[in-house]
Amino acid sequence: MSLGQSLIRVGTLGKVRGETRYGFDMPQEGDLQLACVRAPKAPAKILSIDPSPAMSIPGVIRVFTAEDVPGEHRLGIIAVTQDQEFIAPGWVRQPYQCVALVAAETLEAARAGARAVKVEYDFQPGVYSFEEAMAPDAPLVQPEHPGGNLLRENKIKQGDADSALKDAAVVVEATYTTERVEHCALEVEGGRAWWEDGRVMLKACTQNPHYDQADIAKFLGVPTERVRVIQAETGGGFGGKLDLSIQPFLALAAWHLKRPVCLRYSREESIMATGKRHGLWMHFISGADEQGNILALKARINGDTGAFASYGLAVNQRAAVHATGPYRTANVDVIARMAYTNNTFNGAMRGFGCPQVALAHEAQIDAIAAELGLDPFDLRKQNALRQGDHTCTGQLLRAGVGLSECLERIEPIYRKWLSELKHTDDYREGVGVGAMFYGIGNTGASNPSTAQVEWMPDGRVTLYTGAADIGQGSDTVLLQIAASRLGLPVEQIDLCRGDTDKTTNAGATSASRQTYISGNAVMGAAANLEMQLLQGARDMLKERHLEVELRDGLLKTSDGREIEPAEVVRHLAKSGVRAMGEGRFDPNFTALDPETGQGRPYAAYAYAAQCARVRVDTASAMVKVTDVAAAHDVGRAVNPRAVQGQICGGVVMGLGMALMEEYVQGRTDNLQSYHIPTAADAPNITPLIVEEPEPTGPYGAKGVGEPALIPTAPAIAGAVGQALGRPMRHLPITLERVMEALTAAEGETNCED
Amino acid sequence: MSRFLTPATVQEALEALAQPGAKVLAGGTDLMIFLRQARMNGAELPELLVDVTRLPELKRLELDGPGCYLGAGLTFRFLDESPEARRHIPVLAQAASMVGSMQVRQTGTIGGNVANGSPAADGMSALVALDAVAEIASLEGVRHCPLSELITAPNQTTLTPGELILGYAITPPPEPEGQVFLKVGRRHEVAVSRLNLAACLDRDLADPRVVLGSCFPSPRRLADVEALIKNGKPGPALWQAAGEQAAGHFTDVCGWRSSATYKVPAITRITARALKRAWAQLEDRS
Repeated sequence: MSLGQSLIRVGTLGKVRGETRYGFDMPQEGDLQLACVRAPKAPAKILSIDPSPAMSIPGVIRVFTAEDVPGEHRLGIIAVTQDQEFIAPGWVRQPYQCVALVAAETLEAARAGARAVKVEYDFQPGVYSFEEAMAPDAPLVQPEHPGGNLLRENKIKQGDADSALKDAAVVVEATYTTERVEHCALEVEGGRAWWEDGRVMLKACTQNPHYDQADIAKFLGVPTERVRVIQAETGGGFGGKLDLSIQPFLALAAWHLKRPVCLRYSREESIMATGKRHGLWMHFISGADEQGNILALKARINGDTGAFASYGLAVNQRAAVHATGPYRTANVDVIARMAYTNNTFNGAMRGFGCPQVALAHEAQIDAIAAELGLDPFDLRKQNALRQGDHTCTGQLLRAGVGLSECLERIEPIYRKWLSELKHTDDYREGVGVGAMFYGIGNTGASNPSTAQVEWMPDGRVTLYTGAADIGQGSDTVLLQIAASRLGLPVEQIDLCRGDTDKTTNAGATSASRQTYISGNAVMGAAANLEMQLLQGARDMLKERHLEVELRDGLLKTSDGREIEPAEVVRHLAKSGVRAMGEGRFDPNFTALDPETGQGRPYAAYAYAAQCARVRVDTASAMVKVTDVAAAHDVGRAVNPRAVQGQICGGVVMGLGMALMEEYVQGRTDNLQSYHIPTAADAPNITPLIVEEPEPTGPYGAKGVGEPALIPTAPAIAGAVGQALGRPMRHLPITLERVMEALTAAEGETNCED
Repeated sequence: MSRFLTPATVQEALEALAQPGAKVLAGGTDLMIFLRQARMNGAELPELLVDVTRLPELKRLELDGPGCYLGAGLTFRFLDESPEARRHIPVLAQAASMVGSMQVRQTGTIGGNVANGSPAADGMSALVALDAVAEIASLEGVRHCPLSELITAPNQTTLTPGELILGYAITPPPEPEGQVFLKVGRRHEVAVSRLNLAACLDRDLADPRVVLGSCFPSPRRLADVEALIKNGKPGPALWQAAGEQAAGHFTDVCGWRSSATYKVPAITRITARALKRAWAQLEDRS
């Protein structure tokens, strides 16, 4: 049984050898090259577009404008907010929005053409922050949106927060902020499209091939069958490849020119043109009794989604639902509001708003502990969600709640670090804790996955899945699940993945959902296949009531006969039947009440706790995170080494968010000015796997992709806060912020002297 | 399209550089970024790239005799790992060890570092502390120029087309000395210095050197701080006073910009720490 084994991931050898061809590597000899003409700022009315200077450049074939879009202009991954125009039809809503597309024989010609296209703009006043967007008479970013500039307000109401706060022994109140963060996937967006048999073929990096197919068909104004999307090997996504990026441009050019075309973004273009993590403003008021039991949370959360909604709704809703953190809180009053602005859009990024609110809910716990003189770690254990508790949406947690065990696993490490803390002339050390819960899959919405498993006449098995492996490892995990369910070695199963002609919709690779949801779909397909084989065997043997089972790769009858499944497959083939099992899984959920936010938004939750140890240099104010211990309840680790990889990667990404990442439009559009952690910044990481089985998960498994990152920044913020004796409430914790706190802390010490 | 040339002798290099549109390639860790940007923007590219990193004359390293000399083609990695450099000019060896990443140190040279003229160049700060005088050649002949006069503004130098830095004559402080280089970045590698500091002390405090980088148009020695040290009594109070003087020097020159909120305390602290460590080193040595 391969389940629970750290099998080497599918495709690893090719990657190590440099043989893997990513979307970025798709271009082939003779492909036309594309380049986007982008608006410098927004909002703006487009007065005129003159392609003639570009057309006179040798090699330029065609300049496309919005007039060349045959179908719908407005696309978007969330059905109720389709509002993103890939080629601006007359009106530019955000900086860097594409206004024209140049196709040329060479990249140089395409880029020269893009620079040469003459666009006349009439720039208009816009709104560039949540406050500006919400001001009365503010110019509207999306006049088509019924709510004005307010994209959405999400409320969570449970109990009576105001009166609980009045009765609380301690009330802590603070404002927290986080900044916009860029995904920085190793592979920037790239792909290729061509024309074949009257259809557009598109092979590009993506986290969601079936969504791409549907929206591109809309863009072209054709039935979906006339677009085939093949997921190219994808070098990381982190949410940044959920929205369409290069795909509409590729499809449009191939559609019109009937020639192969390619497009890949430069790093700069990738940073400018794709979504970011939302920076959030969070005001939290928490109350607790004298023993430190949390009684109430009142929270206000404001966000700026930019000019396009993208995943703004999801982020807003998730931030609200997770605002309490993984702690029992009977009285809750949360209002999260997300506004449109004329900034570049923000969208999905690993954690969807949860990494942001985690900063607040963890610092609030620390503040309560400090006020009451209690141990902050004990306070977390005391308030941690357990089986039988209700979440702030009123959901009863029936099983699979592994938070206490996560805390127990890191506690000895935390206590040891605490006992070793040192303050010297050169540095101060601190230890901090972060915990989280995270709902697997989309929030209060259907998000099914489908899969097929087929036994071939030659004895091999094929798994068909639309689930995009973007480097996180779903290929391997789904194969392990299929193999375990059928009792076969993984080597006997071939994988067919991410091709809209050959696989069916598995939904997005997002929300940490593929192991849990697609894993369940694969389980279902394997079970269905097994049933077909058993039935086929009885049919072949003409014994309708024979007991047959599939074991060790053979069909074994109760009277001792052993049959190769392939024999049954060939038997079925005679009557034109394929031995193909179908699976479908949609998590059990209820939509949230729009007024109270009550409901059952997810079928399963992941839990985690991390602690971080930092050393703050007292001269430079530089922070070195020396160690992180990370315990994650994954239900069941299908591939433990892959889980550890996710945890380690998440921790380093969380460290970037904590200490250095801050996207400033127009100022950090390359990796020279936008800093992400290097290997030298990475701490020693101790990943700890907790397996509290999730009854509805495949073999008890749930997800870890996003949880890996969520507790890290709060743990680091807590550690720096402890080192300096004051809470760090704003991310990133820059040199400037640390120096300010350090100077203040030393000022206090001197007074005491 | 640019041409690429690898001359075998300095004479060949100077002849190539005399051609219009020629540019020195001395490691390329800054130049390649510039070229990529130019290409993306459709800007003009140099017609000829002259790779000078293979010229033996530029690899000279003389630290033992009376006239100390460093070839401009020495890489940061070489200086970081050279036992001679570690022994005689630790301030530069330390600076070299903190430049960019291993890949940058492997190919970046102290010639290119200076010629690029970045205010934040780590090698530059250390070289200024060593009183480096650049030896600059062209077909017209050779000139000598102290580094402090070579850089006129951020990324601007007195180097003219056709000129090539051959190396630096340096004057390390009298032995026994203590030398310390400290750097602050927004991360622990591949970071442009937010500020850097080179400090050298000798036993008698006769020739103290304090160079502050990433705070002015180019790294500079702080004469007032050095004078304070010369006339002071070594110890924590002096290091602290020197740090405060350094910060004062910074605000006198640059005014109170928004960056000063961080930089003033940081300069004070970094300077005091560097001096403290340099003195401790010196005491260990003697």
